[in-house]
Amino acid sequence: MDAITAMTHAHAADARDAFSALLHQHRGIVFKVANSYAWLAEDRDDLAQEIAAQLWHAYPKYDLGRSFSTWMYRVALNVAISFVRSNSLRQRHHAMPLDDELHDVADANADDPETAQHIRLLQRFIARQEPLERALLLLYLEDRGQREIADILGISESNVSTKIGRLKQRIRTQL
Amino acid sequence: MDTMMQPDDFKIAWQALDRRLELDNRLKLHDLRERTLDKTRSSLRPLFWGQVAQIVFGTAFIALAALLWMSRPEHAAVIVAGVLVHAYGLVAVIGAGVVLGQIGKLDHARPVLDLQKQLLRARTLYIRSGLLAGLPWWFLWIAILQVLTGLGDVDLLDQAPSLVWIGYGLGAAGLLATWWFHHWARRPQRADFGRKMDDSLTGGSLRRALAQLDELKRFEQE
Repeated sequence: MDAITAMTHAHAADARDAFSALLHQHRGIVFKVANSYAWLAEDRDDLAQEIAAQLWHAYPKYDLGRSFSTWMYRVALNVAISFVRSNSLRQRHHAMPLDDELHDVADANADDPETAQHIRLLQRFIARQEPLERALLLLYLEDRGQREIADILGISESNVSTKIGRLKQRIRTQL
Repeated sequence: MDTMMQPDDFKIAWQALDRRLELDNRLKLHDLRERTLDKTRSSLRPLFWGQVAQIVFGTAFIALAALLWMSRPEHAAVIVAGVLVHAYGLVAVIGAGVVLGQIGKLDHARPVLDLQKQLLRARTLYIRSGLLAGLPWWFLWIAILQVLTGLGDVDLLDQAPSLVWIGYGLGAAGLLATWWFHHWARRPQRADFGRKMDDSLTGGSLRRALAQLDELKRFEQE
């Protein structure tokens, strides 16, 4: 009985180590999604934590034959969209002027004024997008292929192509 | 300063932002590992416990009806009231079970649109099952009185017919008034009022969930 318990614990520790290594390797996905869906530092931390927890929760069912980053984007975006739709977060968002919320990220370690200005415009544009459009924008900015975007979002490749075309148009006209 | 940006400038700004956040992210990753990964703060938790509470509530009504059946009631009116209470308990338990089943099927690794639709369907089902559990109370209170008195082998309809008939009459009138008011408030000229009424009944959550479902459908179709 003790041997079985020890083996179970060893297996659980291995799975946790493997997961930690993958989380470290793909940490950018967690933080980019968190940064795109939450502006306040406190919300960003909460969201990153929630994404990591849901990834760990879903990890036992992860199919090793499939791309880890695609799987991770799905989980992270699903958690972020649900998170941003919760009333409490929305109220906290609206309680603070958008510029103030964005200021801390845009100005941290600023290297040149033009880049800082571009980052600020980028963040404002991201903030104006609806949750699903924001997911598409994030995947487009990450240079993900249309097939992968379609797989993550659950829409057809032709729909992704049309939406990216419109997105580029909006970037040109709104900025 | 020229603020005209092209999509490629956007990607360059995105990469610059990523570099700025990288150091901060490394520090936070350590924090993520330190904090327990098993501690989710799911927004579905209140919904889950709400359904568990509804199952307990429904089971209490089934137990009340079972007590009545064990006392072998002989009065037809008491038996009918017992059937009503029993049926209500079953509907409350089944409704909550269906919602819990929906919650159990949720998988965050599904494509974004699929999961968001599942989530919103679970939410609308939850709100509607709540309404279904609430509306019968127009009648249910009198049926419960009949069952409780029936446990003591007293037929309330026989002992206080006016109380029972007035109770059912008020229930029918209340239910009809609710139905009429529901339709009256939804006429186009009273759209704002209808929305406010919906919000007062469901906390606005049903309207928001349905609007979000429409948003998903538009995103899928465009």
